[in-house]
Amino acid sequence: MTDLTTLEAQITAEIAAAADPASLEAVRVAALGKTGSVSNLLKTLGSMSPDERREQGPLINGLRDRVGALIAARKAELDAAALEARLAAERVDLTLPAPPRRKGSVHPTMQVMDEMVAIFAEMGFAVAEGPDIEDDFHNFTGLNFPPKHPAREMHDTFFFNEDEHGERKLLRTHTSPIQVRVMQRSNEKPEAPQFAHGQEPPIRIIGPGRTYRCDSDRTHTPMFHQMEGLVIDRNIHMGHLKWTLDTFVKRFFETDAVVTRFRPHHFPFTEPSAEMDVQCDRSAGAIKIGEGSDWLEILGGGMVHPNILRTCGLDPDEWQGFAFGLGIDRLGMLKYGMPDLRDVFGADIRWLRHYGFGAFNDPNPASGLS
Amino acid sequence: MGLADYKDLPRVAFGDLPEMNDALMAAARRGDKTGTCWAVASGTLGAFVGLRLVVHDSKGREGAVVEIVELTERRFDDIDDEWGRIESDGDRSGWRAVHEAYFRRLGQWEPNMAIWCARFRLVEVLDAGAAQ
Repeated sequence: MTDLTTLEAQITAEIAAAADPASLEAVRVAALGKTGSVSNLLKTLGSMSPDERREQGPLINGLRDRVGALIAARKAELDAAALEARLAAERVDLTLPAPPRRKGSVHPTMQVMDEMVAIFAEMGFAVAEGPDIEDDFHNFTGLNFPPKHPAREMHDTFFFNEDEHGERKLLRTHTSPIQVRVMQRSNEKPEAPQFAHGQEPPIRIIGPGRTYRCDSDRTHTPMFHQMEGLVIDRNIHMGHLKWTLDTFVKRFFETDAVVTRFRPHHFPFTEPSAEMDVQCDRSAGAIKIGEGSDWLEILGGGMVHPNILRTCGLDPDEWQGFAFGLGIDRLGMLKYGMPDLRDVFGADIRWLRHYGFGAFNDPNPASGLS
Repeated sequence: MGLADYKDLPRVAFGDLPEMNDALMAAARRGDKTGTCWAVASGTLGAFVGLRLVVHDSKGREGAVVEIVELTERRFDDIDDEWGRIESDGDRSGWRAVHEAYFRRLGQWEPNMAIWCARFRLVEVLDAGAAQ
């Protein structure tokens, strides 16, 4: 008895001292394993006399049961402690404010383009598109730039190498090729389904898109955006052009106070041609549209040159039209106060955060909540 | 909570005219306006159920925080009396008159145009808009 009591006290102490599941398992194996101290005692029952077994059996089995229960209880304690420790280590503090979500923004050029498209759409213009890589005919010849003509030099053109037919493709220097594509009736299918192809007049389209010239400074970048406008119908005259552009400028700058003027100019593809100026104030180092007595050129246009109409298969005695070209980035700079065009395409996240637009803008022609 | 707690939320005004901005924000503050809509042609504007918006008036004063609780795409002609009340336009005919004029001003109008309808709940009335 004395031995059993001593053994139980020793095992109980070892169980209590086990600080982790591995130590407890070692105690269990030492006591209840195949050759454990309690298991060895159980094995002695077989060699005892029936009287001894009747006396010792309950004592040894009781010891085994108590040791097993103590180990199970200690295991539960250790498991609970381990869980507590893990919960403490991996705790999620739900009261901690979430870090601010980084939101993207609508690029100013896209915002301005959407605004411009919406304004012209309200006036009945449809959007037409053309390819960025153009051929000489659509970019120059079809627009009344004769071969070798010095006017071509004004466009600092990016040319590709000659192809096997001796033709040099180019990155379009303006969106005016879209005019030719819209007016010219041809059996040739456009290179892609989204590109404009010949349609019967009356025509009323705008053509926004990327354009390219080899030029870079504060107000020029090698890639920029233009929007072409074209109206072809009977009895169209400069008055229609002026009203259209006046209406556009007032809607775009969101003020009826804008004063405009047409100034004679030369473009190969229009005759007569004009540049349009808006009155502005430059006195405070910034340009304010609708105030002051300075003038700022913002776009060019005129009546479609008869040569272009003929080239496209239209009789200039029957059909007339006007065309204009707007610098999307430039108008965006004026409206939203962006000083340097190069930043517009710099992809600087800080700049985009400052000048970019949230999806939920105040109502404007491109978006808004009722 | 105050305005500082909502500084990261999108700011919106309801309507495109100053008097609409003010009247509709006041209606939202009273709980009379619990919905807004916009042209599907404008895209989803990043809206989702659970998105909170700070509503401001024509002078940029924030007056309410609302939370979108339902977002559905509908046709202009399918708008019913209930949605007219939700947008605080009275009924279907009131809503149609107001919104046809609104979408025409924005250059977005087309017959039976598709629109996103967002129902929202008033989360908080902000002090900044109390002056109106």
